[in-house]
Amino acid sequence: MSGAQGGRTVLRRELLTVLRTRAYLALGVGYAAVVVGAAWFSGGAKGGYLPTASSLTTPTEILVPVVAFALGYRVVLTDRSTGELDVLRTYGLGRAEYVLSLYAGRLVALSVVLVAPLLVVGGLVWTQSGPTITVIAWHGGVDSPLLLARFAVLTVAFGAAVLSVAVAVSAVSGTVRTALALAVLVWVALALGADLGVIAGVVTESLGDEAVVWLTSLSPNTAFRGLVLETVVGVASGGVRATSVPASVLSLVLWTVAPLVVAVRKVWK
Amino acid sequence: MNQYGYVRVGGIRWQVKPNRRVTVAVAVCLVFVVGVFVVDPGTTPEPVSFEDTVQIGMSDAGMREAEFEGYEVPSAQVFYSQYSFVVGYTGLESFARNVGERRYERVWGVPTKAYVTDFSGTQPSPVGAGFVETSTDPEWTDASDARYVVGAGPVVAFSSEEDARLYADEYGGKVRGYTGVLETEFEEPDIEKAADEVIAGRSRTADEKVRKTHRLLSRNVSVVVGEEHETVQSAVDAAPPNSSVRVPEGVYREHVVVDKPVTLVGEGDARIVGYGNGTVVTVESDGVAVSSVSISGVGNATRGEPMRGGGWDETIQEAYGRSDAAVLFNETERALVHEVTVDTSTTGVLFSEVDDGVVAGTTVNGTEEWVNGFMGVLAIRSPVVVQNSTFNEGRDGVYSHASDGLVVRRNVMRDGRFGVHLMYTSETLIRRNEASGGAIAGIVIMTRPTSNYIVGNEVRDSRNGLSTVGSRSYFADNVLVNNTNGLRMGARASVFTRNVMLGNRYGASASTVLPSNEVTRNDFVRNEVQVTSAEGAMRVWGGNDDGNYWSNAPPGANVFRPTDRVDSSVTSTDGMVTFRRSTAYSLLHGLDTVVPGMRSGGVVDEDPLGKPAVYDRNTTEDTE
Repeated sequence: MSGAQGGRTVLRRELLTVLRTRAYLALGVGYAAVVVGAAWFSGGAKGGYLPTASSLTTPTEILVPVVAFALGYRVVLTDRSTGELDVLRTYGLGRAEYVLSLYAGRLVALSVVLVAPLLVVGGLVWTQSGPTITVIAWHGGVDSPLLLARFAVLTVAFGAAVLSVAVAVSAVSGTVRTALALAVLVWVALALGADLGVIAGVVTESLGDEAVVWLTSLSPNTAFRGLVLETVVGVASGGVRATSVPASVLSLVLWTVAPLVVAVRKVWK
Repeated sequence: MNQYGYVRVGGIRWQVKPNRRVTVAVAVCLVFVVGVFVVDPGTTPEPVSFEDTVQIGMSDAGMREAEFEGYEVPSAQVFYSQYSFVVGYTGLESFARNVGERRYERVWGVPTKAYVTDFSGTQPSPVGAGFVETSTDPEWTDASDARYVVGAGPVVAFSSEEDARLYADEYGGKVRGYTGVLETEFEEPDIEKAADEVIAGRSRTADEKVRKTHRLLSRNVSVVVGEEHETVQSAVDAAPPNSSVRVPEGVYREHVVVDKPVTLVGEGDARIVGYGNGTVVTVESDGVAVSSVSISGVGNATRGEPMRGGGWDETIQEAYGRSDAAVLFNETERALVHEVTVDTSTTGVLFSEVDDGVVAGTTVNGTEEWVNGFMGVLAIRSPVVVQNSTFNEGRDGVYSHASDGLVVRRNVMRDGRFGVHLMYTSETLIRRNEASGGAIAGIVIMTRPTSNYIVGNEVRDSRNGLSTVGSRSYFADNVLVNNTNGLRMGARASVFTRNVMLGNRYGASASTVLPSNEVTRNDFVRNEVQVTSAEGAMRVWGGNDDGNYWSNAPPGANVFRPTDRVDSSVTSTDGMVTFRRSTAYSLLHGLDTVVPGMRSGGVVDEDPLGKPAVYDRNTTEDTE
């Protein structure tokens, strides 16, 4: 078997694994329930695509890393501990093929989990929003399904970055315990640490104001949040920027590529 | 199978095998991903029928007059990025003032498209009061491409630069572009900052009317009824102008017409009793005062031919302005009703086209059932002063039609339909009145007037406490207790401040669909439902450390959502606080005030006050 064939085999195996694992199904259903519920109970769905996207931003930012870590934190570890990795290596599978195939398989699964509920939410907005008072001309403000589509793309991009970190965590960890600890540590750092650090810096005036817009590209969370505020919510507002779009896009790309490079280098010597 | 290429990146050999299906899938994804960001989500809306817009600017009285005379009011219709309805401005000045004002931008976002009425080719000429006379109806044109003429009557827009120049040359204005007109300062003081001055100014004008008319009480007595003249009418006929006719204690069965400047002064229990048809005392002269008598035997008619026909409001005058009354002043000046007691099944005092009219210290007793009665004081195109008087039962204590400048102060209204009822009446001062038991409302404003100042009134035990519409108005220091609905906030672009809503079933209702009010430092105290809101948009109050007090807000809350089931019951339902403080609640509401104008209803106070702004338990009690 060649390396490329091996890669495809690994990808297929990953997809099958995800499909067969009931826990992942539960994860997906749970995530969908939270997203659809948040869209409904925040009152966003009745307002339109834009208010819905803005209401989903915080839940998404908190939950996507959880889902991504759940899908990725022990992918390499499992292959290592079951001996499958050694078997795969005997077929001449390269480190890069292995890691990328693993990642691609999990990314497809993650994308489905992240996008499916947003399709439901989109349908909800489609049916529920609209003129609440019919005697007045209603135009809905600057609103469009396109904005929810942007939000979905940003959500997947954010998920891709965190999944990449998760795969790296699994590649560098020797045991599941280490992987779990690292995953939690990274999640806390992303969900809270980066923002806390910047806010602390601003409050203590050790960070200049001109640095703030660039620091929004530092962590994948702030990059995601900034991009949502700028490219989704921002279309209806004037005034200051939420983030630098190119810098935050670059940040998400780097957060996706760099951990994969680490994973490739660490997966085996 | 030997189609693989190898790429070396970062010292690693990456294997690349072209695969058509994968390539196509990736390409589609890329196009989608890039496409959703490249395509502009905004659409360019076409102008809508102006009647379908949410309007702000000119009063209904002004709009009706324009319609009646066939004049045009320069208008704009604006599509805001965060507000779902189309906003219509009557008068381009109000449009120019509102665009870019922070508190509106906060809720409505920025204008994405605006249209203005195009006066090119309509042969326009300004005719005063914000109106323009034209030969044809103007169409809509893109506001950003239009030329504006400022300083020649109302601001007028043209699609053609040349038409704008010609108009400016003829009527003495300046031509401006879109940004130019938006940057023009159209003088209009900040309502809240100017409030004290406005109240003082209107009070002074009222004081002057009171002084002027009260001088009529110091005339010398020339004739005493019963000495040489048996009837009040014959005494009046005999009295020289600018003197007083004394009416001693007794019952005088007659109707009186006063056609010269005299003062009727009762002595003891002096009663003028009509025959139960028509008006009892009809005043046809300037400088007439009626004082210290009681009047009854008023007729039952409430309708009749209008006294002056032909205006936009002819039918209104017919329906209201021709009621039988105890005292009627028709187109007279310096008119005073002073310490008179009236029993009437229709109207107490009727003013028609009177500027310097005053009712003071007077009591009007109407019918027990309001449907059978009429108005205590009826002011038709009469900016009179009504003060220190009492209105019991009957329909409305004070009803005004098109009486800009009316002042109603320190009166007591009990058990009628409305205490004070403003129709097509702007620029009033309604101050320190006490109303109770109103079958429908204590103080009610209708027909979208502007610049009404409703200050320091107290309304209890009525269906509605204070019911507002209109714009650029000021509602402050009112106390609304034990009503079904305390405060109805139908007014737009107005200020609601330091009002106390106490023990009502519904404290307040944010009922206008155009969230444009400043609502600060009001006290919502123990209303069954503190506030309700109409659909249309989320109302965000506070924001400058000047939110409102909510008796059911948890101490120390930095945001309070009085219309939210969880937040509003935190201090009354055991356990709710635990869910209020949950991550889930924060997740749901973390960004809900980001685009309030696109949400559907609800009130959020971003700076709830820790203690009441004005409410003091010792001075304001709910009478349970």
